[in-house]
Amino acid sequence: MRTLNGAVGRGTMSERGRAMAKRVLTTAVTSCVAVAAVLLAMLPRVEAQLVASDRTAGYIVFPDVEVDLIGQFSPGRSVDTIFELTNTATTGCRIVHCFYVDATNHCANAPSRACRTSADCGGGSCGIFSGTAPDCRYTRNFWVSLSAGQAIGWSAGHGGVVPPDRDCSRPDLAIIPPVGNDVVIGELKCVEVADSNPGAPPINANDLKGEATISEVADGLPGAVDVRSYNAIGFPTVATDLAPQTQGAICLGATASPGSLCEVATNAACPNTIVMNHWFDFAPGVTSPGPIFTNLILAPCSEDLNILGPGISPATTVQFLIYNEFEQRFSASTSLSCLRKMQLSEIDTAPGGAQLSIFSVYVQGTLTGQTRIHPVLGNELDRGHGVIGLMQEWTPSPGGVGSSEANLAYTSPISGKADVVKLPSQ
Amino acid sequence: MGTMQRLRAGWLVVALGLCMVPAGRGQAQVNTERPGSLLIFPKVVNDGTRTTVIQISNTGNSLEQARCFYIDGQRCRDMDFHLTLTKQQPTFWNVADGRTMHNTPSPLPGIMPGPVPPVPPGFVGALVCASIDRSGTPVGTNSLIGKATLYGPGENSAKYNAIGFVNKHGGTNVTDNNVDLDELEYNACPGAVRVNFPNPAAPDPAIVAAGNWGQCRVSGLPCSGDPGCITSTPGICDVGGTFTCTTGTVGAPCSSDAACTLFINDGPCLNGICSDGSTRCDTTRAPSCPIGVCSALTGSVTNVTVLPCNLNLDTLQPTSLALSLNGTDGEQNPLSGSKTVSCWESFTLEARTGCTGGPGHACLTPPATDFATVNIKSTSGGPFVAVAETFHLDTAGNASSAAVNVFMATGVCSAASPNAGQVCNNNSDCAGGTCIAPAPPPPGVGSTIRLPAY
Repeated sequence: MRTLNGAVGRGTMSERGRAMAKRVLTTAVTSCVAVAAVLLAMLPRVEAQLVASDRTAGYIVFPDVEVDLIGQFSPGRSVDTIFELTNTATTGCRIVHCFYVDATNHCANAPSRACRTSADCGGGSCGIFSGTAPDCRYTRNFWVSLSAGQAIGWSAGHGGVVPPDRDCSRPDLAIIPPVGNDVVIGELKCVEVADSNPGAPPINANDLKGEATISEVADGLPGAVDVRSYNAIGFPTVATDLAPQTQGAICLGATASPGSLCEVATNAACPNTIVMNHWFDFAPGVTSPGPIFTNLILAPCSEDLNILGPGISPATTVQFLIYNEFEQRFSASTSLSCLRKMQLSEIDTAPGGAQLSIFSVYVQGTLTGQTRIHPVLGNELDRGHGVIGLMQEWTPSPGGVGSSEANLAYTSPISGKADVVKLPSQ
Repeated sequence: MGTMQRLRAGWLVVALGLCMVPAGRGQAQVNTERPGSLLIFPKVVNDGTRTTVIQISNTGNSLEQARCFYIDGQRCRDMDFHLTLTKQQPTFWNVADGRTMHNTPSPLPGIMPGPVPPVPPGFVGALVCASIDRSGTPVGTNSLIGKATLYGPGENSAKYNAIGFVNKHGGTNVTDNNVDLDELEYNACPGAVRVNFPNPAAPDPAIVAAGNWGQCRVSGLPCSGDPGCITSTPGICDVGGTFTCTTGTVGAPCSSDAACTLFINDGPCLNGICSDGSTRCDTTRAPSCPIGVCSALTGSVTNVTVLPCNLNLDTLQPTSLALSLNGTDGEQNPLSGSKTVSCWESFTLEARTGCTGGPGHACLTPPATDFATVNIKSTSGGPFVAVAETFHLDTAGNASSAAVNVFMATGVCSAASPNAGQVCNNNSDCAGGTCIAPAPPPPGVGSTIRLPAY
């Protein structure tokens, strides 16, 4: 039977066929509902797989820890980092294991002297050396137990005290140790773990929210206060059932190759590309006369904290694509094997040549740009080459330095290649 | 495979494909780190001492057009303009100057994104930019990212990321001038936001460690310890005659000028001020004020700026929000408060006794510890977006601020949980139920940015 308003195909179908089609449709709709229900139930975990600094997570990284209690880099000014950490869970105790990674560079001609650039070394080179105090190493860890909703804070340079908690039945104050040296540039990583015993595995939970504020202060008259803040970068766990993870490492994404350490992801993967809006260096200040500079802070996603010395992270090449306001494109690259903080205009130039950098306003001809940062991925099975980052903008002025800090934008996560974080077994 | 089996398989494929549409929509939530088709900058200031620089980039490889609206938070008015960005083009402007052919000393170099008007002096409010097509209809290539930096006074600066909303279907399902933040057209607004903040009544730890944290008891001069309150005036000893001090400690016996140095101790260096506003006190000793309480002289003040997600930019009808504030401190003491907002507001978290609230202030239970956290949730008027800025002050009058994007809650607990409706981040927060993400906008209220006709 053929109807005027029916579909031709349908009209040519036999009664048996229509009945079958109806059954198929019913089955399909039922399947749709069932699949939708399953997918909706999975929704939180699907959404939880993006690295983010505006969502809670089970593994969080503070990529910029700055301590200069003696004013070595800024005479008369003391620099310290204040952390704020909250357990956002609505019920229950959470144990948090935190690690400081010291990435302070030192002078080749004075190994005990910390440095940022060769200018701090009186002409000698500044970098990572394995002298008496190897650079880029995991230095100090501590555990904190936090009740539901408990918010704490402490100083990197001076440590802190954690009030007693109720959910964890810890009746006494807990002490958070200072980072250990008067001058430190590094990072802090915190992860929710099963208990406070060495080697306790991370758990599947996303309860941590953290911020860091870096303060530069001077006493006397006129004195000074300059602060900049950023959010900790969070890698949410894939599952959120509070179960201990069993893979022996934090797997940021998955490497779909037989024999790889991370065939299954435990946490969100590192970003594939970082995007940064910034001033080109030497751009004129907005409300102060000094020029504006930008520091880029990049931290490797893969780290083996069991290695006591250099080499905790693999050497990674990062590529830069820079667009100015004329839509002109430039490129550069550099490498890092540890946390690296670099002034943009020194990425592609020798000391003293910053004005000739492609990150310089004198070369670009426009005041701002967009830079896309892409790590070159390797094919190892036990580590990756992802990076995360922050930007720090600063303006020198007669009164000192004015600065601000911000989290960076990301595009899609790295796919098919995991970054691996191995926690210390002791 | 027979005809029926092929038919069955085909139907299943179609059905599963259809099923995937709503499920996939949640994969990118409203966020501050990924490109989107709608950017919101909740805090834009040009008040004479501070101005704001907006930076927006097109991260895509096709031309992007956007329609932007300044929202005057005080008068609830708006002003719109257009941006055109070529592929990967970054642009910026200082809201005090705009971006025009008349910028001084010369037009800014770069491809002109279109004339961007300046905001008037005294402006405080927000900026909203939505991707559009040639007809003015909101579309979505999800290519825009943005940053705002508040500059001033002096060298102070504070930076935050624009809040980005992903258009869910590339704009194909947007048929009007309404930007629906409902997870169908665009990401929904967050169900709640969370702000960590230092106790405003506690001294700033970094300033206490190395800055001007106190004032001398008598002189009121800034100090960082008792020695800083001791001043010395050199004296002269009459070594050729009376062997007494002629200046300094006048009249005192001496054998050298050094013995005549006059020391005045204006100390001790005290870190607090009493409620009377003039008597200095020690916050570590209680009670140290004859009347009232002793509050720290240095501290950190946190300011939260809120913009409703229901914006009628056509009729300019202001949206009123009722906000509930619930948090905890380091000893898990509950903190609570409330706040009403109309159109837009930037308010200080007044976590202190004696708070009376009012415009620019939100009263909150004083924390007992140096750090605390608070969840801010809308109870009427629909969801909102926010940004936080904390000001740090020493006793010499130096101040600096830093902005951060606030955390956005993943969702709310489902009806099956005893915590139904409460803000959650994980299923474990919702015993017996699940954490539904993202938080849906309240039924019937919706969350819509209504654009005026193009």
